Amino acid sequence: MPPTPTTPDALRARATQLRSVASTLDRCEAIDLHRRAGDDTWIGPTPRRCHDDLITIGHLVLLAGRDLRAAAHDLDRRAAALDVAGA
Amino acid sequence: MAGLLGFDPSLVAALDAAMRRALADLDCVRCTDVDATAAMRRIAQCRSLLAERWLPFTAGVLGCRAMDGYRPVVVEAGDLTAVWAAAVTGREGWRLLTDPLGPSPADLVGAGPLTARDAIALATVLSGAAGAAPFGAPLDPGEVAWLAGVLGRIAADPSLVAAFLPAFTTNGWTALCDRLARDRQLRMTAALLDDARVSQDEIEWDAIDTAFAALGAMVVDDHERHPLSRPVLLLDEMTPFAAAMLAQHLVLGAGELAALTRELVTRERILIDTTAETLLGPRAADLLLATILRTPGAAATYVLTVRDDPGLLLGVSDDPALGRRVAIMGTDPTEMSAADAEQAVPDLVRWYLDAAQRSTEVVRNPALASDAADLVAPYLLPLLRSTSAWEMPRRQRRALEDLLLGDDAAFDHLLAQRDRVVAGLGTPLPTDTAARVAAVRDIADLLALIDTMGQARVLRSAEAARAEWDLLWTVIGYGQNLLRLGGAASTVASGAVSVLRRALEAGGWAWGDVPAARRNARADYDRLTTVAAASLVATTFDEMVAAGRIPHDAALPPTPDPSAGDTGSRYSAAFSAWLTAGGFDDDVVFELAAIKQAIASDHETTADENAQLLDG
Repeated sequence: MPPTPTTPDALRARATQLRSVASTLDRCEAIDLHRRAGDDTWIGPTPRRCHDDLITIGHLVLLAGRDLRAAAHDLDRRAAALDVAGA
Repeated sequence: MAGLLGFDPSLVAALDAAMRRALADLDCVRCTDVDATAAMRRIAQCRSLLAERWLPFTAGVLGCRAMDGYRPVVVEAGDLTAVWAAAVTGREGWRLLTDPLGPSPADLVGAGPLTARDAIALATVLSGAAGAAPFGAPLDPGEVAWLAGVLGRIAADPSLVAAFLPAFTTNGWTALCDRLARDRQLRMTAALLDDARVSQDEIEWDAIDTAFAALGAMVVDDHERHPLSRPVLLLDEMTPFAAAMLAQHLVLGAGELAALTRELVTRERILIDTTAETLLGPRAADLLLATILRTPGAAATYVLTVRDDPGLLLGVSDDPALGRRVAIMGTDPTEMSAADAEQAVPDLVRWYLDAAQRSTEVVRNPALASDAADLVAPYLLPLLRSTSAWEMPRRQRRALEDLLLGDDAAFDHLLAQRDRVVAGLGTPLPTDTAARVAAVRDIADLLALIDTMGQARVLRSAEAARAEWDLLWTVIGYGQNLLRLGGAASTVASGAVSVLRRALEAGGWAWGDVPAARRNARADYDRLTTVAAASLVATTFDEMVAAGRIPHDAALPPTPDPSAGDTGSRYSAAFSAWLTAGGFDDDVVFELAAIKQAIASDHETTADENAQLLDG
């Protein structure tokens, strides 16, 4: 694992990257897959489980994006603290 | 029990593609930042679910090429075979799919044996919407063929019949039979519309007939098992034609068939009279009358059943010959008692006399007069003899003879039916002299009636020819007037033309020699009388010799000479001389004289009366 940057700019750069990944996740088709797996497409116990799993996948993707944005927010706060301390 | 899977292949394929795109998206999500570890763990979990669990599943579903083309089916209520297939598969908990490689739904039951549950399913389906005609649509020929096949297999197996009938409701019977019957009429109409004939390749109703036969067989089978059941109750709500299609297979007795026929034909006649008839071909009346002809005793019963309205026999069928055949069979002396005939035959005759005055009936049945001749052949004596007890007023007797004589084919029909004509004569006991004389008198009267009718026909023919001859010369006279310049107009030929006409008539070239026809008729009449008398006297003589009433060596009775000009008077003289010289017992003399006299005098009396009737 590379050493964690500690400068404010480095922290802000990391935050930007995390938000970029989060934005990518926001556009991911996985979020809406469950809409294609309803009773119009198929019926039966296994299709039902698939449908439920696809809802889970969408939810996980959204959570992942939220995690990334939360982490980016923490990095921004730490960068701001370093700016205040350096001043 | 294993779970079921139903799917739409195209939508599953779309889902599969979306999952692959989503997986590719997720594969592109890379982030090594330490603070993204939790998020990346969630993404990895998503990839795992897609790549390891659901993409293999959809690939498996879509990779099963055997299911290509197998699509879920939405069954239409009116699609008989599909509804039946859905009922059978639904009963098993299966789903119904299209099968591009397999047999059609119509063949679904062709492979294996039918079960009682299959029969119940069919009865249930037929009792529902599938049995009725949605919007009057005819059944598909394939459906009819399939239905006929299945019904035939059920009818052949009593256990299947026992399962089928209780599940088949009365409404189902009515709906199905009405639908099949109307289909048959429509197909027959389509075949007849082209050239009013049905060729072999146009017959498309065999399967319908087979289906009705199977349904009828089931009812008969059930009735045999349950004698108190009343099969005709099934027919109450059906159209007359549908009821007739089924009734012809019900093996009904004469009385029940006659009553049913009257009811259905009455209903059908009202329908035809009150609506614009658009269907061609046989009607209910045709089917039922044909059934009556096949049922012992039914013809006579039906004739008596419709005595008050003979039109229900003679004026209802599309094929008039059917009504005629039932009337002839039903009134035949071997089928109908004399007392019943006395009631029924005059009514039928009156119907013919009335129908002959209606152009619609004459158009429907051009052979009306011939049909009447066929009917009356065994009953000439009671119908035409002035002393008959039958209710035939003079006016009607005259009208009947006019009907028969006015149509060459009709009189020929009458003459051709020698056996039926003499069937109306009685057969007295050989020991009863009075009865024998009465029987001879009947023969004499019958001969007289036929003889005078024949004479009248010859004279009418001669008179018609004479009228044509006279018209010819009238036209010639008119032509003379046109050609004459300035002369007085006249329609009478004169001068050289008159000489020409007289010369032609003197040479025997004129048409319609009425006096000659009358002379020839009288001579024929005399010969007929004499030959008839001599024949009956000779027959009686032989019987008396055989019975010992006349010695074996007695002189034979005289024979007439038909070539002589006065055959009758010569024979009478010879007969009297023979009777006197024979030395017979008084009773023998009396009987022989009575027989000879019956032929001669009664013949003359009846002939005179009938000739007077015909002359008006």
